[in-house]
Amino acid sequence: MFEALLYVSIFICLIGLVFQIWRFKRTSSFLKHPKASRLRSELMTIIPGFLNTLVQVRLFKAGKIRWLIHFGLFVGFLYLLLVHGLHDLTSDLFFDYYEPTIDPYQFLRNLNGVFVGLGCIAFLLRRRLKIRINKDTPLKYKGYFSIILILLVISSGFLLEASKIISEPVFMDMVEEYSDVDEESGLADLKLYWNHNFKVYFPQLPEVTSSSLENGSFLNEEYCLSCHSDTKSAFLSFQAAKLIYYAGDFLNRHRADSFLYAIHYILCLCLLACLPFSRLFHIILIPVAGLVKKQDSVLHGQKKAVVSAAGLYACTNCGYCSEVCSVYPHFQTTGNLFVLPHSKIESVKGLIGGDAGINPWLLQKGNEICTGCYNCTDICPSGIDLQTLWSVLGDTLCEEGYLSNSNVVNTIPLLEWAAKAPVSLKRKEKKPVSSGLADQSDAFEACVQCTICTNVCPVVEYDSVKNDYTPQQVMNLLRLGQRHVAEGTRMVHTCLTCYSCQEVCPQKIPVTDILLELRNSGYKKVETMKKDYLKGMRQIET
Amino acid sequence: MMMNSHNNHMDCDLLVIGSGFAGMAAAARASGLGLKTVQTGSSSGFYLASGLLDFLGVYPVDPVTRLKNPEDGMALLKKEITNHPYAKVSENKIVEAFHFVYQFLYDGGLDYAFKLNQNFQVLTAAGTFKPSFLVPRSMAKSNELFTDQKQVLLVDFEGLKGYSALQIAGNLKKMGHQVDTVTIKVPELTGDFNVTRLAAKFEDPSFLDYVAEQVQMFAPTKTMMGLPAVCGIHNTSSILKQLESITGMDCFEIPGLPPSIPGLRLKNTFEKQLSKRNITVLNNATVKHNTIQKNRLILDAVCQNFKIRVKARGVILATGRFPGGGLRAERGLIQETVFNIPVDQPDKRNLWYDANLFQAKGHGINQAGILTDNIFRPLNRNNIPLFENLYAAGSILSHNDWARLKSGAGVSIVSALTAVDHFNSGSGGDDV
Repeated sequence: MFEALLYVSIFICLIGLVFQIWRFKRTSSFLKHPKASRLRSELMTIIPGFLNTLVQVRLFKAGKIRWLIHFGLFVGFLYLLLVHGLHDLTSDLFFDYYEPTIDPYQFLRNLNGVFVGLGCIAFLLRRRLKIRINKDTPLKYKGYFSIILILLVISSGFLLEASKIISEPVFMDMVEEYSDVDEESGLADLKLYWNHNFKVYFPQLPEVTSSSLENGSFLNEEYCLSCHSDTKSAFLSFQAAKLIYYAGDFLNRHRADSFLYAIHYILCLCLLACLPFSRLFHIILIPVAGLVKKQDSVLHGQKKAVVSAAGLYACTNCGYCSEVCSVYPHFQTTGNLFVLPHSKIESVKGLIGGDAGINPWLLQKGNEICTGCYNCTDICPSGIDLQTLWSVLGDTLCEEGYLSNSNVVNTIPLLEWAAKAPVSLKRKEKKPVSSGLADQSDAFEACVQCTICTNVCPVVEYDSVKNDYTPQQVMNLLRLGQRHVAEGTRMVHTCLTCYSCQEVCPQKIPVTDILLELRNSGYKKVETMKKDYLKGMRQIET
Repeated sequence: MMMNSHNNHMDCDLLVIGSGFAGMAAAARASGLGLKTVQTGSSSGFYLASGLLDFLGVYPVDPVTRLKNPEDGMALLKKEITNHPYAKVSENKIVEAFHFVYQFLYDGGLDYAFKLNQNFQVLTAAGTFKPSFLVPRSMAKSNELFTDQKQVLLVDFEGLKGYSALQIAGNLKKMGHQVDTVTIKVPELTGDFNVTRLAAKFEDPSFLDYVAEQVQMFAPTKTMMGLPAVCGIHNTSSILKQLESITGMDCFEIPGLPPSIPGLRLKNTFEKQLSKRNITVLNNATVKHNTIQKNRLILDAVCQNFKIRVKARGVILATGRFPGGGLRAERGLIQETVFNIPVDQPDKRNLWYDANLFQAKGHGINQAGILTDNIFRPLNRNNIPLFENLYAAGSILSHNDWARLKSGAGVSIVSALTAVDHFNSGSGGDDV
């Protein structure tokens, strides 16, 4: 029956693979954006990809403790899979003589089980406790399923070993098969020895005498020792055996070991069957994604990570990206989850899958907050080029009519914008609209128009939207008292807030702060314009 | 570096206030001596620097003197201006300081050139020659134009502001050179592009081929080719070599108006080298003196989003003059901004400037600055050093009219290095 189950789960796994490939095709059509194209595989990526797969270089860069925990789990899992799970196939390859119950294999199985178990617990805790991220936020991480499944496999394994340790039926089977010991030649002594040393549970045992133990020890050496080390070396299972020893009678009578064996086996098959459907698939996807690298020589001339379907689904939703996100405070203020990368990537997958629960306007709003600081791409242990993904996402949403603020500004001539001067400028109110930097001439009047800010500005350099005004020209607008015009310049709304201009200004003008302030004060106007635009669209439709 | 994030304080050996030329030189020297160094300030001033590092270009100050050898003016300078920073140090020390900077920049991949006892005469964007001591290798070749008559091609780029090959050609023709100019249209750059974009283009080998193609017709008759100083941001030497090998002409750069790419190269190189040597930089921090505790100077560094108390055994004050923020002109008085050190200045405000703006000798305010002892420690009104380990370096020093004497870099480097060396030699014993 187990064999049948094995074939079923392999079958499900294969179906899952086909499903994944089908999904990739759908994803690729979404990613068929000019910015995401130019995919090509290169020989050079094999070595770093190999290193990343084997020792998780990227994770090591993200955090040493994280890496240690993950690497322990990875090594443990690999050992358990190859040496323990597939020992029928592999033991001849690796070892001259292999029995799971002799040392060091008995000890190593426990040790690696502990690595995997602890790793899983650490992963769960990190996802639950949201270490480093404000605990009071409604953040949710995904990817619990595969972690819990692995944890279940490991714990059932330990319980199985413990129940085997105390099992009298198993003991008796072994005695019958591998020895000719019977009641006359000292079976009782052997039982006594195994009970005393290895915690096998027997309902009735004779008195312990030194001679009987000695005889038991002799028989153990004669028949058992070649295949059975001291069960104490299975350190965790032995402790578990000590605990369940007291229920030994009940457990042995009902053959708990066979029951647990079935559970353990089925859980393993579940893991296999679920592999393509769960986050666990990242163990396949990350190496695959690593092979398909994208070279974006136009922008920076350096190799970046991947925006490919494999990369997208390689995300384990670990949330490291959100921990380092530059605009995390924006999420804290507005509560818009779509500001955070780990939540955005889920929504991208949702959009591709046709999830109706995602509000594209909200997603666009969250996405346009991104400053393009590359923190998320830098830390991503799966090596996904998140930054490019966000830029593709923003453009795709715009093409579908979900405009961002900067898109709106880019479509409005500056004159039209200036015509929509705020009420306060019509000199009705006595109080100034705001008393920010843009209203204090001290802040910007020192500008000598030296153009150094413009020369360091990455937005001006990339110039994706044909900037109308450069930073120093915006400062000049302020000097001319044209604040409301300055609010509508493209520069203000495409600024990345990288602070390069502010850092280099020889006159110590807080250029970026002023730009940001102008963007915020122009925000309301953009919102009303967006509404006008939508109204117009609806009229055209009807 | 001891840094306690809870109390926000840092402990260091040396605090360098300022990231101009003097500040960078001080930090470079200190990092080489293994001192724990913190540096504050903004290095944006380098965008205004031509990239030429002067020793002494003009002395005595008159319309005709252009020193072929900086040493020629030194004796007279030391005799006439006894308070000049150069009067406090030996010529050897100055040359050694230049050599230190040369080596430091060379290690950072920026190639400069200097010859002992000689100023290079460097062709500028105004078509004039400026005497300078330590000059970018890419500009050194224009020295030949000063002495010999050459066949020169001057390259201009369409849309490049503050640079006119025609104007330079006019001046060169007067000197008897055979000059031609060519204006190259830069693909993809239209209107008023910025200089860094043009400079970045030079890093692309195909652009070099394009430039070579545009000047090809002049190659048979011209031996030298002058370009504005925009030939690459990072690999200028190899870019020029490549251009020379394609065109067969000797190529040189001509420094011009800010934003200056040679200045940017200096800034990049200093920052790269210093960060390699573990200098802690509090970028854009404004520093205020707080108090003194057990031989330690305590200062508050205030940035936009943090405030740090810095405890330093020694401080190099390299805040510059008015543009750098080291000096501030109040209504009737010039003040020093960090320690409120007494500033040596004209008695009355109406003596700050001479009635004649183009007065060759300069104005009273040009001599204002901080008086120091021979190891550049600022003096109080009784001519006693203010603090044991407080030094001043660079343009803030008094009687140092660097712009007129063409001695800015030299004064900055030698005062910074003298101060750091003195601090280092005396720092063994007084550690509390």
